[in-house]
Amino acid sequence: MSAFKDFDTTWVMVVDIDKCTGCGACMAACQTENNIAPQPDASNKLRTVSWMTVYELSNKMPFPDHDMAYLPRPCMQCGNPPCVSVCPVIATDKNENGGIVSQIYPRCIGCRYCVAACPYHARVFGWYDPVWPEGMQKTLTPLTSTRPRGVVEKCNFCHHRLNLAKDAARAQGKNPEDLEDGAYKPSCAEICPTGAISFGDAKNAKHKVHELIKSPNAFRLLERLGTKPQVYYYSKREWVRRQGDNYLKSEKV
Amino acid sequence: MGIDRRAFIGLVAGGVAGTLFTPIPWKMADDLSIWSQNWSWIPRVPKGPVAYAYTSSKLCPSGTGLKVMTVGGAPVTAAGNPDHPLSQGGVSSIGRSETYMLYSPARVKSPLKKVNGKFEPVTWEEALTALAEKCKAAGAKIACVSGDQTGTANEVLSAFIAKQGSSAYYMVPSEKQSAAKAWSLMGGAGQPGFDVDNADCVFILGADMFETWGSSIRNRKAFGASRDASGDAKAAFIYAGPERDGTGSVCDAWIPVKPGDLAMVALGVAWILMEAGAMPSGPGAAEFVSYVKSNCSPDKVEAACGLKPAVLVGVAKMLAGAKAPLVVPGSPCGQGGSAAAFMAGMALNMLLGRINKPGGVVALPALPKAVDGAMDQADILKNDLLAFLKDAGAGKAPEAVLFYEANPAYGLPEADAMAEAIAKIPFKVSFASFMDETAALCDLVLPNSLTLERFDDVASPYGVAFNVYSLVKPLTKPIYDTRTTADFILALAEKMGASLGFASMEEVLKAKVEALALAGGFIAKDVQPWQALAGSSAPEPSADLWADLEGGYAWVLAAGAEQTGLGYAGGVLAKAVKPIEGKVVLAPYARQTSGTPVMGIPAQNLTIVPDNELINTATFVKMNAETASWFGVSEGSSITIEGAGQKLPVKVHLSENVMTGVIAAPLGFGHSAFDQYSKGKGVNILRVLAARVEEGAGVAVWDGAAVNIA
Amino acid sequence: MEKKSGKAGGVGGFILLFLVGLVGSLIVGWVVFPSLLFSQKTQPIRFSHTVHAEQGMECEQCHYLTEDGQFMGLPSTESCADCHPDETGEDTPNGKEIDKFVNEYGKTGAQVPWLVYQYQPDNVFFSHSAHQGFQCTDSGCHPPVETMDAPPVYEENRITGYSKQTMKMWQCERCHAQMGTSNACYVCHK
Repeated sequence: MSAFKDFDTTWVMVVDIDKCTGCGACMAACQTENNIAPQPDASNKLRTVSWMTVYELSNKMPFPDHDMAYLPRPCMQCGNPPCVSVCPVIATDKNENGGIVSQIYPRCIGCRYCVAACPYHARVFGWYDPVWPEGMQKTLTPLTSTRPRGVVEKCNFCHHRLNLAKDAARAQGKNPEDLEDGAYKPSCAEICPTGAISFGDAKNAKHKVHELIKSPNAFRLLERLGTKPQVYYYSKREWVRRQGDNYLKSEKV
Repeated sequence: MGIDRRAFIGLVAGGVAGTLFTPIPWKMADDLSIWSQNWSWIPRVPKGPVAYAYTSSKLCPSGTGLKVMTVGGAPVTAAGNPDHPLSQGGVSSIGRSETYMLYSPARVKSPLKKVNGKFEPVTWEEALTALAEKCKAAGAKIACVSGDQTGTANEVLSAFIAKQGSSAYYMVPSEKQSAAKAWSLMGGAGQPGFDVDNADCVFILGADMFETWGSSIRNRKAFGASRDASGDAKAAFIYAGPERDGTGSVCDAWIPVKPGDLAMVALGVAWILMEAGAMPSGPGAAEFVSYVKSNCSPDKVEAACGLKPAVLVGVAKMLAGAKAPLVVPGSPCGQGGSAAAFMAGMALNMLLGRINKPGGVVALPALPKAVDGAMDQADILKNDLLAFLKDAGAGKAPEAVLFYEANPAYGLPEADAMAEAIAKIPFKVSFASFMDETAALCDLVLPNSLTLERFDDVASPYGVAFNVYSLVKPLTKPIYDTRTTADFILALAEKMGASLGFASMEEVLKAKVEALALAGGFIAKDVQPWQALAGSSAPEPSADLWADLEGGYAWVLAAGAEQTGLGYAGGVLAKAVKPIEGKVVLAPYARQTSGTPVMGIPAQNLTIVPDNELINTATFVKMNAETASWFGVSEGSSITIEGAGQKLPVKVHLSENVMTGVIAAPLGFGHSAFDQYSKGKGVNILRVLAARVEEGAGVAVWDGAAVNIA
Repeated sequence: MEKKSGKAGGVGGFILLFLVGLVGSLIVGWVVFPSLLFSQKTQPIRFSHTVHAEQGMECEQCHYLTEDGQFMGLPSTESCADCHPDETGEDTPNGKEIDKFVNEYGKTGAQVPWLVYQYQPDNVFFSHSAHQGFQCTDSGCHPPVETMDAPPVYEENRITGYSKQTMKMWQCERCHAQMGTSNACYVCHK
């Protein structure tokens, strides 16, 4: 389909849906790690900025046969990112080893083609200038630059943490291109109270996710679109896996 | 010399041509494009060395250890401390808020005194003098209300009022207090703890243990560790409660049970276990057996709660077949839990022989106190805040009341009546860090410094199976003109000539740590306390406990209190087990995203609150389609909930996660105080929630209540 | 057409004034403009690198990489105060400068607001640890301050607010391209 290169390192996230209690700690971790401003009108989700969103899934059965699950959704860092090919100014690209889809805010012109192209709703448009209550800007992290209104932003697997992990590896005389399992972890994966989020290099046999993604219980969202997401989900529940794509009733998952 | 038109054109053309060979146009274009990205009102990110500092969260009830990232020395973000047993790297959205809440617009920025109904700033010295006078005048007619469930500050405050001759010290009701009352009715000793880490079958009786019950991060870590995606689950979890919530959604099974029926269901399981040969013994066992035999057979449970006998048999089989079964009773909303349900759940643990066993119930012996004259925690927990405030409402209030980390005007059932009662107290002081509903009613507001600004501690949050102690130390100077309340109280006592023997909270904590060192225990580093409970030999005690605690490590003591008088309290149970009468039962639930009563909704959490709980200013309650059909309502319908003499407008969200006959409603909204992130967002469900008193136990319960829908 | 002698006009006048305009604008563009564009600022403390280098101090004593790969470029007030805890009382220029440090920063604990010649915008991630193999000065990134008794004048662009020395993206990219290093966006951006 498209000419995106296969990288030696492929950072993947594996979310164990059966462990997610929907507590929102991942979202809280993401907001402050990535300098997303608190939003006084966020009780209406129409224009909120959130890179990680927890969705509630339902098996659509009436009580008492009903079952539910939570699905945290970061950016999928697709192998074939539909957002990249539509960007008129190359503000977003997939060109670095590891496969994380970049987003450069000063380059973005706010046309929102990428928002429309993303089948996962992973991209958000900043409708408002990021304003912190007086003094609270002192808790900004040096890790992610702030964005003005009018540009698109999205999860980048806390890419700054990859840079920091590489720096640490260099300082310790290790190979920055062959990080140990756990040396690089996004903020959500680090903070998750049940440990539902695993992270690592899918191509590195020493990383736990290398095996995890081969499980028959592992799946990706809308896999048949050919987007090749780098986020995997895991559930032992068949109905959950079935909601990962638009399956016909007769189809087996 | 004149210039004609042609010469002028020559000059301009020369100028333009020349300019093109200078950097002016190119540099200007470049610089202007850079300038266009410098928005003065959009903050720049800080520069400076990144470092990490360790402390523990006081805002989060789970008492997690924090790893705080600092930039140039200033705290920036809070993550879980991977070396702390209560967090192991995990942290809740509340713990995460510890850094930015330093700058919450709702913070009280200096001491305030109410003059003609309005707050005016005063100095700390003026406040100290004013309060000393009032306290002197009040004498023994002084009371204190504390919402700090884990801190040694309670020792300072209770010793202070004890010196005045008062023992009117009240804790804000919590799971801890509900459990303490029920446990003492059973003759149990110590603070009940549940060794979830070593259990292989956990029957959760109502407790929302992965959200609000106990040290919930610890619970979630234990749950997570029991199910590695690459293998089979090492422990089974069954949840019984009115709603399939955060806890229920990840458990292997959900048993729908209304709040008032939890005890009945547990006793139904007990009936089956007894039929299979389990024999209760000890105090109250005879009454227990006769009550259960005649009232709790599976068919009777089915008649009362609508549960199929096969479900109960299934639970009983799983528990009986497990090597280390555990029953965890608690409230689905984190407060106002049923004593009957607790006793029934504990009776199951006793029937299964799970007291003082790895993976069972381990009650914690009380830790040594540091402050002379401080009240015992067990005694404090006997005092009933609800009864106290009802008396105050009836005009029997003491002269002066101190509110520490407590917001009873918002966070108690029948909240309107509570706020009215508080308003009737002649002189009231709040030590709130944020301008909450209670502080707004007070005559003096003396802001407590926040977690990252003060010395404090976290001792054994409710629910953990081992005594655990961690230190809270200041990582930054107070941002505003605030003080550590304990420091202020020590100075106040000194001024009133009733010194407590310490000059600062830091000194108190050093004394506490010294006392702990004598009690044994170890630093949880290589050996974790649950491993010690399971039989691993405990390491040597720390050589320098204070230094280890300052480094963010936790001191633990893995030993259960000896149970000499523990019994089944059959007589009490027989009276206390009673369903909630009514067509629909309101089952409140609490989520960490909406914060706690003393902090409001953390600024960043408003984004995380899901849109099936809150949209704009409307609170959504959940009911299933069948319940909705009773009232002819559908998704998004506006309804009014009536209860406790109040009416609240809410909207309907249809959810099959809620059992029939139950309306699940989120707590934590509808603040009338705090800032733009909390104020006016939704309604406070506690306003329509009436507390019921369980007969026999004499305990107020509000994990559910009958309500009318209009 | 009336002939106007003694006046610049005609083709000759055009050429003359064209040259005047050309030369004038070149002077303005190359000499006046740069001096107008940049304001000159001096460092809060006239720190002498030469004095410290002559004491036998290594660069790495103050500018070093930590174990986690962070570059500590600016020594903290505390580390300066390790050697300069008290006023010297000397009347020499260096002594006065040390006393200025001790009084204004050492005693108050405030950090010296050094002007950094190479601060990049917030959205740039630059890793010193990734560039360890290059010489600090020979590669053209930093001036040879070890030979300077006074820090170079800090020139601030009046339009952008950045230092004149701030390296541009094309410079980073050119070197990356020459070295065969990736120029992917996220290699340098955050």
